[in-house]
Amino acid sequence: MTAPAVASLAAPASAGAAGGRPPKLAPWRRRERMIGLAAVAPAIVLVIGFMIYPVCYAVWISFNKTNGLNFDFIGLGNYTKLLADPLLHKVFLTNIIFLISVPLVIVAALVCSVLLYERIRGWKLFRVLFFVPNVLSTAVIGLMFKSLFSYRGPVNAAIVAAGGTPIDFFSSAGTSIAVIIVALVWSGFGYQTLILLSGLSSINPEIFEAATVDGAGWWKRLWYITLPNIRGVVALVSILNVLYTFTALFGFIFVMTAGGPGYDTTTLDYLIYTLAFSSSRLGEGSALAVMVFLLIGGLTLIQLRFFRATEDD
Amino acid sequence: MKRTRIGAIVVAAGLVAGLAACSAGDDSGETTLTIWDGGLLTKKTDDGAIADNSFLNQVATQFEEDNPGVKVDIVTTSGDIAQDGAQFQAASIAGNGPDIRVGYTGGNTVDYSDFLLDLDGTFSDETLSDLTGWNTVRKGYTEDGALLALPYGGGSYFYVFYNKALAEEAGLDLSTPPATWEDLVSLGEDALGKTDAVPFWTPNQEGYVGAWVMAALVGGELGPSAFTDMYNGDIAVDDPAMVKAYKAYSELYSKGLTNPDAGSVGNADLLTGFVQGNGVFMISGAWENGALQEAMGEDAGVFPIPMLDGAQYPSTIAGGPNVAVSITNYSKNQDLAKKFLNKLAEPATIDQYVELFQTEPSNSAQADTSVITNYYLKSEAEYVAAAEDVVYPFDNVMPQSVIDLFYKVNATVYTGQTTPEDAVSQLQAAYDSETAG
Repeated sequence: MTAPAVASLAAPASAGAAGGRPPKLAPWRRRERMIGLAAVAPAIVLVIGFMIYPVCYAVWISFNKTNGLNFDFIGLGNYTKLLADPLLHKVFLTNIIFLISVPLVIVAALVCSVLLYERIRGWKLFRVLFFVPNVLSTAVIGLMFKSLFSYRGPVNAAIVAAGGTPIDFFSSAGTSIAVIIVALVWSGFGYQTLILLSGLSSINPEIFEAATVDGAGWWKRLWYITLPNIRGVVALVSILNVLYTFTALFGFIFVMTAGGPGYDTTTLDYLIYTLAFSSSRLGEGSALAVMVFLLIGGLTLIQLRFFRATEDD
Repeated sequence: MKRTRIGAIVVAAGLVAGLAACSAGDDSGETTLTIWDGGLLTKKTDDGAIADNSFLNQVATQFEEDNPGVKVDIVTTSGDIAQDGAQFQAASIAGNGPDIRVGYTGGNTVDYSDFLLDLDGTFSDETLSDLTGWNTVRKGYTEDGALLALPYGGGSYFYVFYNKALAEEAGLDLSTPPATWEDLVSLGEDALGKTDAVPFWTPNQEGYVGAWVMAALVGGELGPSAFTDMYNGDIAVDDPAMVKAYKAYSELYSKGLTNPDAGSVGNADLLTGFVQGNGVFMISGAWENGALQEAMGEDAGVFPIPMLDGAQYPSTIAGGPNVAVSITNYSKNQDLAKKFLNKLAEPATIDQYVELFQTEPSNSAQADTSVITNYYLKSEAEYVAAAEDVVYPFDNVMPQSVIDLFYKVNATVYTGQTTPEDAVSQLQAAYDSETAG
């Protein structure tokens, strides 16, 4: 049954290479292609309509001074203005600080996934508990942490009970960012734990058994077997978290600090929103969105290269 | 193959039908007039729903009765000025915003002029001469600017409220309001440590309290046109009066006269905290009148924010027309919306608003003053009548991006994270950037 198909596939390739007229496809192949195209058509329409078109439109807007209705083409004006704006530099640095959450999430997720993998007592319950933050919306998590760390909240009550002085966590940059990072880690580590756990599950258990027989302890097994075998998954988790830090902090910031005090906790995604909608500077907002898109694209490529290089080593 | 084709056609038809079902068609024959309000003309119940006795709901019901086949749909928006503006702009760009928008006068309306209908010709000459406040909703704040909204109500002004019991406990004599800002600060110093409350309860995370104080203090220094002159570039935003006012206002925090978490407590806690006895004084506006009377009866007092010692305009009160009702230029029901605005503009309807809200007097010359029953509004009306000058605030006039920054720096200047000089220079730069092109 397969022989004729191979022959029919090989023939057009050689004909095409020789510059001749490509032979007609068999009717059943054409039908198959049509059905295939029809099957993916809705997805293509959705991708074009909801991804490619908006991205292209955002790029176009970024070359204009506009409030969404009136357009005045200014070329790279929005980009040069933004790049020279000290506020953007400050906000970018704030985002870099938020990257502290990436290793914290990975370490927390790694510890939890290894513990779940080793089926510690109550692992089934913990597996559910770790995932609970993922079913809560960002707004709910934000409000929860805002209440916890408010001046009259439980954390300060504990500090006072221990003889300390209450701290106004959200009135200074350092403590505000710290609380948001804690919220980020808490909300994110459960999902990353499951991803890492799936990576761990793909390791052949016989390797662990052999290592145990050879006298390798828990740390050695972790260091020499577990981590090298899930390097790819760790890379994925790392990339996801970096992307998340640059694109998905909006909800936390919006609910917990509104970017304040001043602009101390304003992140790039929050600034895009502020520029585009609050300040009616849609062109600048779009230009910043394009820059963030390029930035995270670049960061992803760098991370992929880094992990490939370490894999090759 | 035939079956596959038929299957594909059926799927495609299903998709088209499904998408068509998502469209905004209305087969009931009813015309819906959609109004967005952030709580300026409606009141919310404790669970966040619109109260049945809300002013706008009552007018909507009357309008529906007068116009069979018309349904008025009132949508409540967040109430946060910046969020409301952002939401309205986003919806307007998409063309699916409301028919009528209830917003604030000044920049909050003028900045969205691209989405609003010019209402010149909508109101009769009688209505135009009967009501006040038209210039606060005209483009450029000039007589010949496009009319972008109906100004609603006589205006809200900024005041210092005080808890009578706590003031007495602290030994303060408030039989005569403090004559200057310095006297007020001095009263706060006297009250410090005398009660469990802080002298000034100041939830200032959003910087609104700062906006009210700055309006009053700068108005006292530069006069009633201080901020409209700034808007037109006749007075610099970084005028020394701004620095002086910021310094005076931030003293409340630096002298330990406010709650230490002033920078992180939001405006939503302002009245609640005051009613709970968190502070002897609270700086806010007349919009608190109704809820304050409900919660405290006549156990609080009120006086205007006093000016700085040596102010050139010592008898100034800050505030002005607050509510603006606009029609969007993409509304498909513009004639109906105009009819609704004319209904709102009737003196009897405004009296109804005053009676229900008790936050501001009517802006109609034919107003029935007997509808004012609120203890605080009565006192405030006397202060407004006695004031020689009224200053329209910074955040009612300036471009939205400058207003956003103003709120931010108000919060950080207060807690000492930004210096007054730095704050005004940032504001000047933002204004320059906004007006450059």
